[in-house]
Amino acid sequence: MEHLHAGDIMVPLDLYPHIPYWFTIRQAIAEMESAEIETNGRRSIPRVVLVFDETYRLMGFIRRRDVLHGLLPGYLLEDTDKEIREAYDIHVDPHLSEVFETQGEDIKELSNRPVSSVMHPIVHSVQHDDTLLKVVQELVVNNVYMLPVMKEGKIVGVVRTLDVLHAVAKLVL
Amino acid sequence: MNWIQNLLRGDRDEGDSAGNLEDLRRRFDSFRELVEKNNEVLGLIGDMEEKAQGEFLFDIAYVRGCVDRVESSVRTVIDLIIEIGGPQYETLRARYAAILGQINNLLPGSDFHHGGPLILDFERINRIHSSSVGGKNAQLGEMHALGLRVPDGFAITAAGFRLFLKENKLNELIQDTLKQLDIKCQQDLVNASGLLRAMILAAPIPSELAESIKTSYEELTKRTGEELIALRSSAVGEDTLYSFAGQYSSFLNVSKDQLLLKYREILSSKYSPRAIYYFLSHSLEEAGLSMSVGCTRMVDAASSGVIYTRDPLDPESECVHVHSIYGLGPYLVGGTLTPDVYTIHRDGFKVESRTIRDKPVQLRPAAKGGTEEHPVEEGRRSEPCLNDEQLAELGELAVKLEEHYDHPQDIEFAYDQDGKLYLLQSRPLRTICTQPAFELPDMSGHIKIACGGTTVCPGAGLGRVVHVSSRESLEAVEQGDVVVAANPMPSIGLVLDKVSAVVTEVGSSASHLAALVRERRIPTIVGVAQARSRLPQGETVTVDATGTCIYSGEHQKLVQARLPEYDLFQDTAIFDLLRRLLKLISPLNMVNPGDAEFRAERCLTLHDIIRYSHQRGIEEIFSHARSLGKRKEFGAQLKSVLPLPVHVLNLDEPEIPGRKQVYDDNSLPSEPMQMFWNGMLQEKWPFAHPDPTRLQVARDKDAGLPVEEQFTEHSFAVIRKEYMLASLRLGYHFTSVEAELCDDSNRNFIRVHYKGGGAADERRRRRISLLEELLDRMGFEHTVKSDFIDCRAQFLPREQAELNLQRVGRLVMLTKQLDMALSNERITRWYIEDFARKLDLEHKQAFPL
Repeated sequence: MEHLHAGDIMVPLDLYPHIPYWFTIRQAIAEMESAEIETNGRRSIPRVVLVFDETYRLMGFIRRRDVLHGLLPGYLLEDTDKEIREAYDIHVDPHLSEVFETQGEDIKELSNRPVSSVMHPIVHSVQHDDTLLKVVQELVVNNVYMLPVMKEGKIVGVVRTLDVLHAVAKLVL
Repeated sequence: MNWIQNLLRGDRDEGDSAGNLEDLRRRFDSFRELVEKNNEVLGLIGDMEEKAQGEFLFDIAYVRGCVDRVESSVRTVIDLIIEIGGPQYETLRARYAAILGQINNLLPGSDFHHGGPLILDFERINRIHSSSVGGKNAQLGEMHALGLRVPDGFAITAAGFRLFLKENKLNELIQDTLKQLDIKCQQDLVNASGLLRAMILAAPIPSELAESIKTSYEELTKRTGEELIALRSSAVGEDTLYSFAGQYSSFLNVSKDQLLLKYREILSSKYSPRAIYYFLSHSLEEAGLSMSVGCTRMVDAASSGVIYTRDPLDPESECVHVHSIYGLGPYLVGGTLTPDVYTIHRDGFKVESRTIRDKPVQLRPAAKGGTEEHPVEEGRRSEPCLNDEQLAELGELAVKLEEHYDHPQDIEFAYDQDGKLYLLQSRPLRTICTQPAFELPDMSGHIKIACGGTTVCPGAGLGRVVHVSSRESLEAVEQGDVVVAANPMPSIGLVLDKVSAVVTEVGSSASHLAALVRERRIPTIVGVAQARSRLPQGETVTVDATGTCIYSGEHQKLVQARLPEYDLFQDTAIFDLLRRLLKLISPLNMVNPGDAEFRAERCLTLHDIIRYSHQRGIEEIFSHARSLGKRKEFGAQLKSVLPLPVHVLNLDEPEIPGRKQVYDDNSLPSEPMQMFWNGMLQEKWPFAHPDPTRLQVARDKDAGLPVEEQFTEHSFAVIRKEYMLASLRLGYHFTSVEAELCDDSNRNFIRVHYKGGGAADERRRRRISLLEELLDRMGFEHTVKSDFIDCRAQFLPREQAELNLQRVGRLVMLTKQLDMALSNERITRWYIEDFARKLDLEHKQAFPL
C-alpha cells in the first residue's frame, strides 16, 4: 500500500470538466451531460464540475444535487422562511404546484443563474505524494466524494472515491 | 507569445520621432493603404483560385494581368510596411525578389532580360536550367545526372540567342513585323516568316559567341573522336507548358564548317509559319521565347523510337508503350513511317503485345554529313526492330523516369550499332482521361465509309473533307473541315484551329502532330488505310475518332454524345500555368504569429508576404499607439459598463492639449467599432464573485501569459469613422478585430485574429474549432493553426457587415474563457449549436461576393 500515492490514482485536471464561476447552471448541466472520464479503460460520468476563477484558480465545485438545488423554485426550499414555517408548521407539498416539466420557463430562467450561486468552496485537499491511506482518511473523515490533488502549491488533478476504491480493490480482491 | 507582448507592451521610445500623434497618423495612413492592398491581393488570389477550378475560361492575358496586379500590390505592401516599421522589414524585398524570379521562370517569355553563360556542358545542367537551355537540354542534363546514358555534348544557351539578336539589332525588327501580322491569313504568315528567317540567316554570329561554340565543339570532338555532331533545337518554354512538339528544326550529322550555319537555321526555325502561328495563337510573347541549341555527339542509330510511359488515352493501364523503327528517329516522329508498337507490362517488363509493321526504308547518317534514306533489306522489313532484352531495358527505364519526374513521360531513344541505349529526350506526356459512361446514338443503319486505325485523340467531329499534301494545300482548309492526309505532317498543326477532325493513312500516336492534336482536343485517327480514296475531297463525313469509324454524312448526335468524353479545359497548358503560378502565390505558410517560424525570411509565397506584413503592421501601429497612450494628453478612454479598459485613439479627432476625451458605450465615433462594441455589450460580463480560498492551477508555461501580467494589460483601439482596429485581451485569449464599414460594399471587410487561452492545448484548440465553425457559418474565410485562427470576410453589404460585426463582438464575449469548459468534443458540439441559436446561425449564411 505504501507504493501508491494520490498522484498515481488521480484524474489529471485536464480530463476533468471545469467551468469558470460566471458560467450558468445551464452550462454546468451541459457539461455534466456530455462529460465522460476514461480511467483504467473504464468510463465514468463525473458527478462534479470544478469551478475556476478568471485567473484560473480553483474556487469550488458543484455536484448534481447543487445543480438541482439551483433549479428548485424558492418556495420549495425548506430553508427559506424557516422561522415562519416552523412557527406555523407549514409544509409545502410540491404536488400542489404545477408539475416541474410544465414550468419550463421558470426553470430556464433559474438555469441562467451563475454557478457561483450554488457552488461549494474547496476546503479539503491532499498532496500529490500523500499515501493512499491518507487519501482514504481525508475522504472518509471529511465525508467528501472528491479531493483536489496539490503539487508544489498548485492543483494538478482530483482524486475521487471511485479512483480510491479501484486502487483498494486491487489490494483486497 | 512574444508578439502579443510586443503588441500590448509596446515599449517604444517616447521621443519626438515616435511620440507624436502626427507620426502615428502618418504610419496609420500607410497601414490603411497596406490593408487595402492586402485585401486587393486576397481578392485576386481568390479569383485566380476560382479560375483554376476549371469552371471559367480565361486566357494568358488574364493570367498576366492578375500576376502583374498581385506583384505590384505586394511590392507596395512591402514599401508600406517599411514605411510603418522601418528598415527591419527590408528582408522582405529579398524574399519578394526570389519568389518573383520563380514566377517569371514559369511565365513564358519572361526570362528575356536575364544574362548568363553562352555555353553550358550537359554535365553542368539539370532541370532547373530550363529557362537558360530550354526544356529538352535541361532534361538531358537531368538524365545524365541520374546516371542514364545521353549523348555527350553541350548547350548553346538562350543567352547566346539573345546576344545574337542584340548584336544584330533584330529585336525591334521582329516585333514590328509580328505586330502587323494577321495570323488568320496564311499568306501573311508565310511572308512574315520568310522575312524574319531571311534576316536571321543573313545576320552574322557575334564573334564572342562563335568562338565559344567552336571551342566547345573542339573539346567535344576531342572527347568522342567523331567529327560530326547533332544539333537540336531546345526552345525555352518548349515541352514544359506548351508542346511545341516538332515545331523547330534539328539537324543530324553536322560537320564543323556547317556548324554556325545550322545553328542560325535552328534559330530561324523559331520563325517558321507554324511556330509563329503556334505562339501567337497561344498569346505567348514572342520576344521572350528564347532558343537554346543542344550540340551532341551523333548517335548512329540502328533503331530509334519513342516510349510513352503510359497509354495517353488510358493512363490507368499498367503498360508502357514503345514505338520503334530502323535507323534515325525523324522518320518516326515526323510521321514518315508507321512504327512497330510494343506494350510492356510495368511489372516485370514482360512484352504483352507487339504489332510489327512493314518498314521499307530507314534514315541513316551520310558519310559527308546530313542524312540519307536507305532501303531496309527485304528479310528485315517486317521483323521487329527491337528484341525482348531491349524492350525490358526500355520498360525499366520508362518506369524509372516516370517515377523520377512523378509524371508520365514521352521519351525519345536510340540504340546505336553496338546495341548501346541512348536517351535523346524526355518530356511530360499529355494524357487524356476518357469517361466511358455515356449513351451513344444507334449508328447501325448508317454507311461506314472507313474503319480501323488508331485513335490519337478521342471524340468525334464532322465536316467537309479536305485533302492536304503540302503547305500550299493547307490554304484550302476552312473552318470546320475534316483534314485527310497521307501522313501526319507536322504542318497540319498550322490549321488545327479550324479543323474538326484529322484522319491520316499512316502514322502513330507518337508523332509530333499527335501531341498537337491532343493538346487541342481535335478528334484524330491515324493509320486509316486508303483514307484519301475512301473519303473523297468535298464530301461531308463524320469522324468517330473514339470508335475509329468514319460515317458518310452529318451525325451531329454522335458528335454531341462524344463531347463529354473528356474534360474540355482542365488539362490544357493554360490551366497548368495558372496552377503552377498559384503554388508560388497562394499557399499560406505564415499563419500563427506566435510561431518561431513567423519571420520575414520564412515567407515562401506572395500570400505569406502580405500576411506577414499585415500582422507586423498591426503590431507596429499598436506599439506606436501604446507609446502615445502612456502620455496622458493623448488618446481617449472608453468608459464602459464592461470592466474592460480600452484605450482609444481616434485619428479623426484633432489633438486637444490637456484635455482627455472620454467615450461611453454609446458614443464611439467609429461605426464599425460601435457595432462591434454593441455585440460585446449584448453578452453580459460576469459580476463580482464570492471569494473563498482559491487554488492555483499548475499549467504549462506557454499556455498563457503569467497571471500577474494578465489584468494589468489594457486593450487598445485605433479608430476612424469608418474604420476600426482593436486589440482586446479578455482573460487569456487575445483578439484583434479590424474592420471597415461604409456604404461601398467593395471596401467593407472584417478581419478577426483570435489566439491563445488559459486551458490546456486541446481545449484551446476546441475553442478555435468552435469559432471556425461559427465564423464559417457567417461566411468568413479562415485559416487555422493550432490555437490560432485568422479569418476574413470581404465585400459585405453594409447591413451584413453590421450584423457580422455585432456577432463577432458577441462571440468574443461568449467565448471568454470558454476553453476551460471544453473538456470534450460533445460539449464543444453543444456550445456550437447553442451559440448558433443565439447568433441566428443555424443555417449557413450565403453572401454575395
